[in-house]
Amino acid sequence: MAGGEALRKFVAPEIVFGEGALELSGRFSKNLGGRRILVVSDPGVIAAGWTEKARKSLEEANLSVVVYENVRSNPSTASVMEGASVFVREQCDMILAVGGGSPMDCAKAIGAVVSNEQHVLEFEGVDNVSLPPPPLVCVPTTAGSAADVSQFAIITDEVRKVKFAIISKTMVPDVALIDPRTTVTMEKELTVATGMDALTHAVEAYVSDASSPLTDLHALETVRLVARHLPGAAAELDNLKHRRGMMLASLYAGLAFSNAGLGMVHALAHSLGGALDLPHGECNALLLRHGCAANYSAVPERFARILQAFKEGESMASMSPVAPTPPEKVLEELVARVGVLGDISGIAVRLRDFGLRREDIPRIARFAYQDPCLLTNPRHMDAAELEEVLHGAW
Amino acid sequence: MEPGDPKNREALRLRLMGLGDSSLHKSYYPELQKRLGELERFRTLLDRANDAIFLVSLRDGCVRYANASARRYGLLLGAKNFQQQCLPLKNLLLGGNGEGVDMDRILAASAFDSGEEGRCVLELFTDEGVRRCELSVSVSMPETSEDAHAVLILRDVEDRLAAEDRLRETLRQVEEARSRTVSLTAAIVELKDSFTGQHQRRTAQLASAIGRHLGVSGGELYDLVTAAMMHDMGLMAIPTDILFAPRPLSEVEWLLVHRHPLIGKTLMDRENFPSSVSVPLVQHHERLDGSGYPRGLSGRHIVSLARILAVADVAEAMSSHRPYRPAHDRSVVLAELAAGRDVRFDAAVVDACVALLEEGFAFAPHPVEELSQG
Repeated sequence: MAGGEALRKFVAPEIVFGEGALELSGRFSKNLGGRRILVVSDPGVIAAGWTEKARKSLEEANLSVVVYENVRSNPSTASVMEGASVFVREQCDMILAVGGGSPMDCAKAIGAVVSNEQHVLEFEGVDNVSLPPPPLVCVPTTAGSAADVSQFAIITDEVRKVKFAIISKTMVPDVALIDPRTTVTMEKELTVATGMDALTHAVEAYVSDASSPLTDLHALETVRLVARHLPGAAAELDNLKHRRGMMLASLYAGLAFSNAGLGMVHALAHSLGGALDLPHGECNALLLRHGCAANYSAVPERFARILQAFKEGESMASMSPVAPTPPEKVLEELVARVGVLGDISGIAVRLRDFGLRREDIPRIARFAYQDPCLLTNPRHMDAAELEEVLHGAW
Repeated sequence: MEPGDPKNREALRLRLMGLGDSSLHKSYYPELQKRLGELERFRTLLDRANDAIFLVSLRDGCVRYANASARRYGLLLGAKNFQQQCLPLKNLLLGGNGEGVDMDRILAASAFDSGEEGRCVLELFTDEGVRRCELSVSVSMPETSEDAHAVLILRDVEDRLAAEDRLRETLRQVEEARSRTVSLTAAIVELKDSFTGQHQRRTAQLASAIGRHLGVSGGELYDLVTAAMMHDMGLMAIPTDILFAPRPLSEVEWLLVHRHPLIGKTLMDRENFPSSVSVPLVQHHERLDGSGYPRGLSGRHIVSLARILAVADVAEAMSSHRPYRPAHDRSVVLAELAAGRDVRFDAAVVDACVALLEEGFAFAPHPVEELSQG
């Protein structure tokens, strides 16, 4: 379904990758015309010291800084609106996000609110942000969400208890300053969960019916990099070679999924995460195996390429040759590998372990069916089929 | 657009892939063009204004913006770019004396009525030479003093002020002509009858003093003095032997004499003197209690200038020598005034006159300058 004669587009921000990118915060913010910068971060990242480093860089460029840090994981509409009021009150003119997916998504939504003067709930869906937000620079400190390059912002509506997606080309940040050093402060659990998030992005983007040669490159390279570096990064938290590999994996995955879209795993993870306030990476890690199984029959050759890439990544680590896999074994081997990676930090394997009650499954499936991520799933699935997958994972 | 509806799903999918109508990468250019267009229209508006408009930074005194009309004041305006170089206001705006005008000078010269906006008139060098300009200045003080600036609006008021000057001069000339007429009339009266001539002059002095004492000023005072200077000119129509008779007059003779206010008013009306002069003249022998002449008016029918003139007339006449009697003592004059107070004469006018006489009011010997009061 992908490629062929269909039109495809690729949107990406200006990207700086490498150690020292963080210290460019001041220069890039100044070049974008910022004078008073709203720095959006969270308490964990502040404790790790990365926010302070960004502030120093901004101040060295003679920019004034206002920090908004009231962001928790799965950022809420209230948090977005509060951050937007700080931006307006403090007369800021630009945003710099320092942190993982939560502060970055929050920062993106704050930008949409301040330039359009609308409530964040009004942007739900695709292409509903009409005026471009103020300039946004992202400094990611996890290797997974890739919110620093994507057109997505996922916000939790505390009232409906769902996560909703704001999807718009205007949500793509202006600059991503990707500094692998910032990920060494992640502990093992977060390292694995965010790494599984990146892997899920790559797999879903590669089998997406909106994929293209441009996104395929990035998606397959992500799978190789995760297979090669995730076990090492989890084992040696301060190994910069593995951290760099995972940071690159996250970036490639972001470029792939932002342009090719995602699929049913993300649709379910958003619905599940909104209902139970679960870490996004862990939801993806648990559901990825079930997603592969559910979608395999639609694009078996694509899943075979993914397994191949997995093996290429492993062989680069172990220097052993890559053996071809017989088609009837592909799904089994792929699911096994995903399971092994998730097991590194003991991520739950059944939904009931997350505290999901069986009677809540229909509601989760119903919300997942409304999620725009499902639009590019390789085969059409209705709410009943999604419910079936959830039962299988329960 | 709900993703649940199947016919929406393909449209949404295209948008997600960035292929929707408005699936565009972040670009400020459309909005920028819109704002630039607004700015351009606004600038055209400013340039069309006849008033010169300057925006001056208070931090460094440099002109940040000047509209097209401002060019007629500027020595250096034209191709210069205000954003890129500092053009101090004092280099652009020159006073009539050739010295540069800076914000300090403008703020010192301006009167701030409402507190927000100050106004002053300055002589400025323009492309038509030195001209008077009305300048309005308003100062904006944003939170950061970096951006503090003043808006100056200059309007050339030379033509208007020159017209006002000409009008003032014309008015002065008209008043001078009236003064000359009055002086001439008074002089002719004095030629024929030195007693009446002197009485009119001295009555004018006393009436003027009483009037000022009571707060009469400006044109009204001028009218009072004019009326006083000519109040008895009607007597010139009375035959000389009656006028100068050193004896009590007969009833018929009195009837003639009592016509002199009417004769005076008739003469004035012919020359189109305003009623503010002719009415006090014709009423100067009327009394509050109705005992006067020629009409026997009473109370509020007698105008206030006539009440002053009446008291001044009586007080002066009693104080002066007459062919048929010597001058009365000041005490007799005061007693007569006291007796007439609030009966024949206005009480406030009597009080003012008494106060003046008790202070030792003296008549000037050559008091023609009284007329230059107006």
